[in-house]
Amino acid sequence: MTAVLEARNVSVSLGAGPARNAVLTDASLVLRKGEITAIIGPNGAGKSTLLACLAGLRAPESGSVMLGEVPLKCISARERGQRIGFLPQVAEVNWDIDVATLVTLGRLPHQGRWGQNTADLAAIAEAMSATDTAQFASRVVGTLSGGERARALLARVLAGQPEFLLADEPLANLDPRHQFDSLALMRRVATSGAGVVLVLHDLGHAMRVADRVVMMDGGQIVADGEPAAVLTPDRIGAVYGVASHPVTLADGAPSLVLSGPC
Amino acid sequence: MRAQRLPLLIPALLIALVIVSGLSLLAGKVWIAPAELIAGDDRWPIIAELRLPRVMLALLIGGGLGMAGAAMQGYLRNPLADPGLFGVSATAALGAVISIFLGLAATPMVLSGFALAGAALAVLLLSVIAGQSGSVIVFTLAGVVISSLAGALTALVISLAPTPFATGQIMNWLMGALTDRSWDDVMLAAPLIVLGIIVIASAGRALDALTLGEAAARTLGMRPAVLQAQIVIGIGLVVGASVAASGIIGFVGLIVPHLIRPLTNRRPSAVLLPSALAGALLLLVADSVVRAAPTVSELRLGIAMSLLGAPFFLALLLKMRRQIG
Repeated sequence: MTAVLEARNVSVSLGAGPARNAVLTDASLVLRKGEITAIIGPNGAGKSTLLACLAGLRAPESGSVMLGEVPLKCISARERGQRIGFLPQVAEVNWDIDVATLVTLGRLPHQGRWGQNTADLAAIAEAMSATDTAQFASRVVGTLSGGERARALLARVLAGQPEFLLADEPLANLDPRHQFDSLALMRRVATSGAGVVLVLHDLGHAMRVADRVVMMDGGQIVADGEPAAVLTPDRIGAVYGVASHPVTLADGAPSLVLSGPC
Repeated sequence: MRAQRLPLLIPALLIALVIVSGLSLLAGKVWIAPAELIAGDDRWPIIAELRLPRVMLALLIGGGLGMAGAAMQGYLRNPLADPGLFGVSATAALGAVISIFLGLAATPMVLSGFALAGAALAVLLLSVIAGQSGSVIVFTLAGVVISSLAGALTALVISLAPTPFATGQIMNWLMGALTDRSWDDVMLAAPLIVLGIIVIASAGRALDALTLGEAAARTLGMRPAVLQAQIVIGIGLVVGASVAASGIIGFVGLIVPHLIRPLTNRRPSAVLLPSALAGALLLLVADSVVRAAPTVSELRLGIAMSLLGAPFFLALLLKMRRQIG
């Protein structure tokens, strides 16, 4: 399947009356499967709003979001849930459920009224093995460490076997080691064929891990392309107001060092 | 993934329900031994016309309120939620009280009709105020407003009651009981409560999705407006019909899902059916005890449930406070 997730001239405004302001203006982008796309930009750039539109959580005021050839708003909530997985920035987990139950919830858009079939159970087992969460399957989510919790939440989304995985700041609150682990996992998800979209704040990670970087500023997409082409010192200086220096790591991977306001 | 931590939970509750129902038919101010019945006892009408409808009502109302409570807690993601919270029971009670005030309550169907009309009005108001937003917060606040308005109007009607007798009658009815209920009451309440239970059960998957919060639930296919309609209609039917048949009986919907939840995997959908069965069991036991207890005048079921429920609620709060602290 080669269907793409696409935003076409999407605009969103928030507030009412004179306080109304545009948070997203005329944003267009095409997301492909098998790729990691990093959406970056300063706070208030419209990253989360764009992601919410792509996830079907917010209807654009003008423009449209397309999944393949069909507008997202014409796809049933259930089918949308099967095809697009969304990992919110702040995850809410109620009722002291255990990890196994949490991951099972990711199957909700697929399963019938009378519980899970063998395909559901296989997807759940696969998601737990990919995230290495089976070892604490019976622990209550609230008792997990930050890193374990992030893996369990990701397993929940992966259990739905989405064509596109949208994650809003999945690295927030993770220590550096767990950030790298999470990104490695995202790469495996992309390699297995899903389109992965990450809202990131760490430009070094975006440079190192993304196949493609979408830079936003003031509600607009200001650059879209390969990491090295987008993350130039000039552009970073203009958008973020910081000085940056591209570097090559010992393993040959490109990265970026920031040296302060400019 | 099994839905129950205790796989035998539902069968065990069903067996307990059968046993307690049997005992409840035999027990009362007069104990009727099964052997005497088989031998052709002339007290059979006591069972068929008095105790059986009462047992049926306890099962229906307890089951409905237990399930409604589980659904409310799942919907609001709050373990302290209760079906009374949306103002449906208060408005149903207001309807019934008005019928007594107007002196129309001599015919039981009229009182029930007024109570159901009150419940329907509350459901309508909730839908209008909360609108299409599907927002849980607006919905809950609307319920609180309707509840307090209905409470104030009920107090007004009581204060305006023409005679002390009418006042007494209203107070008596408000306390909630299953005494002297007939098959007519069962026939009126049963279809509405059963329908309400079916509507609530159909919301199970959406309630499960809500475990992850509103945004994540929507990306799992939950439609907020549809879920809200299921909750409003299901709870309106169950609570409206229950209040019409028995007056206000509190705390069943609060206590039961709590006792059940730790026995399941805590998914809201896994709590629904066991809560219905356990609610039926709790109300049947409570009603049988107040009926068979050797008191001069029978203890009102509504009072008994509140005496049981309030300390339970307090213990729950203290436990939650310990967890937070």
